[in-house]
Amino acid sequence: MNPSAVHGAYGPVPWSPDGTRLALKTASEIQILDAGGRIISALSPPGLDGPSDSLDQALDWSPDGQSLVYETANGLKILTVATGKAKSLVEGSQPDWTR
Amino acid sequence: MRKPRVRFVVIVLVGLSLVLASWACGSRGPGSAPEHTAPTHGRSATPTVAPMLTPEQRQTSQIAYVSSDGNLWVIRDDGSGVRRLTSDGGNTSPRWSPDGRWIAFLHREPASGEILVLMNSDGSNRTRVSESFPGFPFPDQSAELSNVRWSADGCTLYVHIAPGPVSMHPIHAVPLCGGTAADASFAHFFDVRSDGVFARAVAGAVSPIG
Repeated sequence: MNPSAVHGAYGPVPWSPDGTRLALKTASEIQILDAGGRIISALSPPGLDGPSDSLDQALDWSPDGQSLVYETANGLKILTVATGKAKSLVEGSQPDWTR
Repeated sequence: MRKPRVRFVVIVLVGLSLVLASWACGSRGPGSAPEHTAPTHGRSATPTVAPMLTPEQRQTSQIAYVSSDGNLWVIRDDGSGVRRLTSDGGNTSPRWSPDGRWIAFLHREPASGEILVLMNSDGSNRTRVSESFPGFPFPDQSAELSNVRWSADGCTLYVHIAPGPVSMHPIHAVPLCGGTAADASFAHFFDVRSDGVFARAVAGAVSPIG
């Protein structure tokens, strides 16, 4: 399978629990990719305006594939993929949601 | 004397109607509990439709994370159930096993560098993976480990190692159910799907590969 058209991306790429999507953090967005690496949506939740070295901050899917937990300079946030809305969770880093 | 008899007949008829209505609707009728697709949690061999969480799974769904002092904690997505799992610091990259019973993570020790560790999800029974499996190219103080991932069956841990041996890929597969550690693929950031397909971020592009 060929690499996607996502350029400048370099960070965690977690598979969704059902294996049909990937999530990817860029400097200003969280992108949802299909299984072929093509962008199907781009979300701009709060906390993604940090420096480029923050690209390696972690994100992970909820077990039902409807939300993402992601890391910002101000702690962890939970993003609802369907609405693009996010809420703060706790101060911390490197989140990992149970499978 | 007639009124009680009529009332009895009405009660019997209503009761029979309810029984017949229930039988006609069957177990999948509108009054019965909805059937849920069994959640796959990444365990199926092929991708499926999005699984639904049962109330029990929603209750046990937890997020592991690292606090500013390098310790591991867990929390539910509604902010409840906060628990501290470690107190020694120097811990990073927590990763739940597929069945939620274990957490793999990295721990930095001044003497031996960064090591791969397993513990129960309540923080007990810490095991140093780096010294437990033949073929694992550690400990090495100069090496940096990152991006711990599990296989869907919970029998393999993948970890990125840099710098690793020149002849090997930087992603190593550690067989927890027997066998010898081996190199698996290359990339810094990656994930492994339930059917073994890797997603990798390499040179600014994302590429799912088998």
